[in-house]
Amino acid sequence: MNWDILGQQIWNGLLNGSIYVIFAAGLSLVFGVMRVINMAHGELTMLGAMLLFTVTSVVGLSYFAGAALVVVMMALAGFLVNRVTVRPFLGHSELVVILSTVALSFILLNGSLVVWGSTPKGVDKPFNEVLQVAGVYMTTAQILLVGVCFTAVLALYLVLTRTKLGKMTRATGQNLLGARLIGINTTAVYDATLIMASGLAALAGVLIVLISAASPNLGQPLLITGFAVVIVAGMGNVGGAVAVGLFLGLTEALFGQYVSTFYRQGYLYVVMIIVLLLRPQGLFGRR
Amino acid sequence: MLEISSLNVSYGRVQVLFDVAITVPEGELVTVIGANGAGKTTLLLTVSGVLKPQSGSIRFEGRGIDNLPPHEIVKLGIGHVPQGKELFPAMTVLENLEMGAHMVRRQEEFEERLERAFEFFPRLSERARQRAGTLSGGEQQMLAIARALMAMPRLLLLDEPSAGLAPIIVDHLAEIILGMNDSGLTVLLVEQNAYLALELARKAYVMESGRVVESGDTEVVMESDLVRRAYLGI
Repeated sequence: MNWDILGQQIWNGLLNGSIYVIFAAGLSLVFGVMRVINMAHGELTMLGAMLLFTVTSVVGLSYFAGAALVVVMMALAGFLVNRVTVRPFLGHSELVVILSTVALSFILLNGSLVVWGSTPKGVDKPFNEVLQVAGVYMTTAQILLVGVCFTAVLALYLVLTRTKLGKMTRATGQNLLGARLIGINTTAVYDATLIMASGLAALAGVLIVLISAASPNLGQPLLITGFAVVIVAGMGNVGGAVAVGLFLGLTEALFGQYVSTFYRQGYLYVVMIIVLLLRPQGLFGRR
Repeated sequence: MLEISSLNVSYGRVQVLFDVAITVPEGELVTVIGANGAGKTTLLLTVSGVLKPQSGSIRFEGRGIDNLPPHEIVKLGIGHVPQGKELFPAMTVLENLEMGAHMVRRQEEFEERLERAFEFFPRLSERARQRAGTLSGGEQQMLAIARALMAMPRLLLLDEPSAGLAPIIVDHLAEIILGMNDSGLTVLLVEQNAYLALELARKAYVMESGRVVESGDTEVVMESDLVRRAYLGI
């Protein structure tokens, strides 16, 4: 056993896992509160990455200023996502809402291909020194990514459990009629939910460019992975999505190293199918 | 305090309420009795703004409320304890009550209201840290009422509070409802349990297939042939 390789794969898994965690947390939040499957979540992440490319490489902002601007802008755009593609269709069947978010995702994807083209774009990292920690190579940009992901997840947890808005959001997810009858403005809660989720999606986007290039095509595969995470965890369970995202990121890297690089991509879905067969409601889901 | 007149409500193409007129004077406890499917729950959900009427008017303290969203109606002082209780099952009793008072900004104000809710329902203070979903049926009903009281409503809509509860618990709830009414809360009580409803209320309405078919002082309504036959089995 080469311990350095094991350590390196654990670190690589942690990097991917961090992205899965922050991506799946937003996806799960929207489903948990609104029972809406947001098919455009991947494109919101993609848009975060592409807009960051534009505001840094074209406009000339620093990475941090650009990332902050993009995340805030995209969070505000979450309001429009709700008002234009979700809210008008909530009274109809769930399928209609899914299709309207699919439509949004195609519009964003094709629009981005027109604006940015399909060539991946590199974004300048704020710092990128290589460190060696206990035989594992890591860059300072990668450490930033992991640190920001965990800070964001902790912040989301604190918002949902300690603030009044967060509790009202959870209450609305647990019982919409109950929430309305005690006077919670559930329209505002839905706005806030998509604002938080879009902000998280864009945050994933501005972090991804620390470990790979920005490309209009990065949203789709991420969405599929995100669904695997959310389904294994149990639809709508944000805490479960965090644990499962991290676990799948780590074990996926180890699978690729020790079992098969070739089948690495299939690993997540095999896990998903096995979990669904044994526990249809997901690991942390309630029936 | 609450005046409902010529109210018509439909679910899609199916009309459920026909020309309903009900008045709840301030300080009173008014009941609406009727069999399952008579439209009682629909009536309350329409007052709360969850359902929109096709025509007719709902006035609360002289102000038309039929076009307001539910959260505005709660703000005006109407509380609603729904039939299914509709609690937040994964949240604690305390968090459920906190949600009931979500509009309160001052901590001291919240604590005063909490104390008052615990005075009505001491049982809930023992269960404060327990998840609502793990409470017994009677405790859940108490929590649903307490949660609505946290908003300090002046009119409380109660939808079948006795449903599924043991008689001894129903008696206990009946006392509490009377107590709340004595302390100045106006109550509109919807019940299938006609005995309970007629015992508590001074004024009663009888609904059948979406229409009000009988109304008046409870003693009078109780004597009517319709009620004796259909609800009291005498």
